[in-house]
Amino acid sequence: MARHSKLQKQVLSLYRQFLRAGQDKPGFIPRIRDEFKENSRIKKSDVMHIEYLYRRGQRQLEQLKDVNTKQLGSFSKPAEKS
Amino acid sequence: MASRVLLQCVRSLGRPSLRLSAANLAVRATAAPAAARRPLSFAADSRRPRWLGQSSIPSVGVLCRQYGDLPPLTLETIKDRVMYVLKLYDKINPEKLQTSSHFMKDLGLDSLDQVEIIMAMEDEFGFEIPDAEAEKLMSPGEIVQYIADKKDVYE
Repeated sequence: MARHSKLQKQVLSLYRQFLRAGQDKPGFIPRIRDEFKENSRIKKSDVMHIEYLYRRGQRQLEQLKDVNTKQLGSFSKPAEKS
Repeated sequence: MASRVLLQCVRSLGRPSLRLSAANLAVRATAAPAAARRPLSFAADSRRPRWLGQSSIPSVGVLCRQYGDLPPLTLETIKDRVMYVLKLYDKINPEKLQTSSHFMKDLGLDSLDQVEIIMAMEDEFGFEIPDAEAEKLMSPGEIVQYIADKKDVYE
């Protein structure tokens, strides 16, 4: 696609802001990349969903930029041995 | 206050215990007025040993100012640095990478990866690239051209 639509540009600038904000705090970058990669699969026509995720992302960005947020960790379930 | 610092500088120049000789000092002839022009650097303790070492130059003929800067950019160095950063990116296959390879058509990246690449370029060269122009840069050659335009590098 030659030119991005306005919504695409907003999403890309949000991605950029997320990456900048998450550079100094450990654990955020893989999560940010996975989340955006996963949601990039949504169809372009599903505007409501995209806008909802965009607003959600903005709120999460505010939380990330907060001074009190230090790092991100996650628990994962070990593979079942059955 | 400046005159007090000047007095201190002149007094310390006279002290023989400060005569530390170094080979490279002969190149930079630091005169007393030139040293006094940096009263703040004299006050900082971390600079003190360096300043003391330079005070042993007796000749006052050449006034010399020292600035610090990076080596000048050329098209070759910009291209080398851009390719180096791209080879370090894990989603790019280094063998397939050429100067003219398109990120989306040849290398199979998407726009999110392109944003990451442009951010890596910003970090490498130390200046901001606005979003409107960043989304148009689709190959290493275009990136090199853009940086050369911004940094006034001609050949």
